[in-house]
Amino acid sequence: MRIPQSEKELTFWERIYFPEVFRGLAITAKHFVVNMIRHTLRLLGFKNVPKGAVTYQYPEEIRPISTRLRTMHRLARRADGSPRCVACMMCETVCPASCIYIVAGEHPDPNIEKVPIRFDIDLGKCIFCGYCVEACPEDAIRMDTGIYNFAAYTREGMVLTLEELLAHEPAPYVSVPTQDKAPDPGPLAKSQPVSAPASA
Amino acid sequence: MHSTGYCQALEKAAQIEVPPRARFIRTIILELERIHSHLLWLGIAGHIIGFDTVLMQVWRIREPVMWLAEQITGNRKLYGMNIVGGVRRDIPKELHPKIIEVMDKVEKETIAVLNAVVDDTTLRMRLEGVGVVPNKDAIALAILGPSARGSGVAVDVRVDHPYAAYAEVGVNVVVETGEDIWARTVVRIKETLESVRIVRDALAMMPEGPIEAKIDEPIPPGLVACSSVEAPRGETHHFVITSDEPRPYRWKARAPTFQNLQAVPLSIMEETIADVPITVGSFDPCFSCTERVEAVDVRTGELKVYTKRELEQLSRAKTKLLRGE
Repeated sequence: MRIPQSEKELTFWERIYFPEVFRGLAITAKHFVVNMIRHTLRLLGFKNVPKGAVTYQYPEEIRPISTRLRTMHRLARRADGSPRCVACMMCETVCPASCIYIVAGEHPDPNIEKVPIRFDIDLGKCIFCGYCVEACPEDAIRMDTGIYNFAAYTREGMVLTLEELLAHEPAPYVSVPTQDKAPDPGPLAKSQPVSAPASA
Repeated sequence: MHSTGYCQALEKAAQIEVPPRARFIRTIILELERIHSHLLWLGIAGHIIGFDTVLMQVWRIREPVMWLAEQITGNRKLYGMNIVGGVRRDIPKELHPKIIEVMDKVEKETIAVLNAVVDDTTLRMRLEGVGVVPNKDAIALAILGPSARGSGVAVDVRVDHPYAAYAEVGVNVVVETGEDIWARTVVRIKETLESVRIVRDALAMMPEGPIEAKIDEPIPPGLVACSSVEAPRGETHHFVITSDEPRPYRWKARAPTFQNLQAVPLSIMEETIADVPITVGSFDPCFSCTERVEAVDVRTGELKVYTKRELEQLSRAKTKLLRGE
């Protein structure tokens, strides 16, 4: 075993021990007092006071997420509530994880060729690359629900069905409750798919 | 990082010119990945030797980098940023101040960590003179990345075979001649600072223009190309043969971990078993869930399998012993 090398030479100030101990205590106390004051002021409604500790009190406090964040999928609806998807299989083809399963059917409207009868996304396989969003010619599949905390007890529980996908709403990105910024009612999420191809 | 390697190989095969702006964006993303990977390693190294303050503080520094990646690419990890011929998303003007701000903060705090680590006797006792890979063995075993640079071998694909925008931005290769774990640690911390510099410069030099090349025709079959990318752990190679389908006929990736692990037997020779976790860890290996060690007592022929937990306890006990606790 290797012998430890000589330690750093201490100065007289460090060797009398107590000043350094109190210096350490002062640092800890400073953090405590500053955090306490900031937390109290924010609790009393002073929103422009900087945040205290770096910790987010998840799940009570949710970190503001980026508008580009790829989260759980949803299928956009037409005005009558039917899926905008035309079951063209583009997303199923492009998906590198093969996690999308589509069964196509006839649409009652003769102007629309097809409609999905089944549209399953296996979140257990999905790698959240967002290729499906880019590939979609109808802008039907989007990844802007803002839902990222999903879990299930079984593998089957991780499968999203057509009904669930249609029921998802876009995230109101800028109005997360405990966020620093003022809530901003925005149809931003509706008009912009999260990972739209930034075309040249 | 792997996606950059794959895309570059295909671009080389099909002779697709990548627009300059896309190359700069790729550079920024690669360096952000390096920053967070090195900081992650530093935290884990601290955890292995039972110095959890390093883990907590370093991962706190790392977190804003992940959030930045989320804002630019849409994910904390697995960025999905590259496509053949360019990148998928632009870095908008509004994000530039944010990136500079995060980089300033990371730089300031990493320098603080570096100063704290250099002065720390416990860390130096555990890391200095342990896990030595001599310079000539590092060359003979062809180990890569920070592990080689800690042994005084100045290999870096970013300089040797510049790709993306590294030729324009330039890279100062960090080389330490200590040959031990301490040298590898210092290389990684200093490289983090260098990456911060590269991100800043790349952001300042980034030209306007398109972010993806226009590809009108399908890539013809039978083209062969190989590309190299400097991953945080060392150089990664991607080899591609194109096919007439929209997928490659053959694709092979070689990651640096296997190469680096060749130096492990040499570096753990004559060391105590308590030093094995940090020595193996110092190569920043990525071997999913194989953290166990078989130790054979040569006098009795007795075999003992150490689990990850036992090894960790041994390693942490040694730190306590050295500190005289």
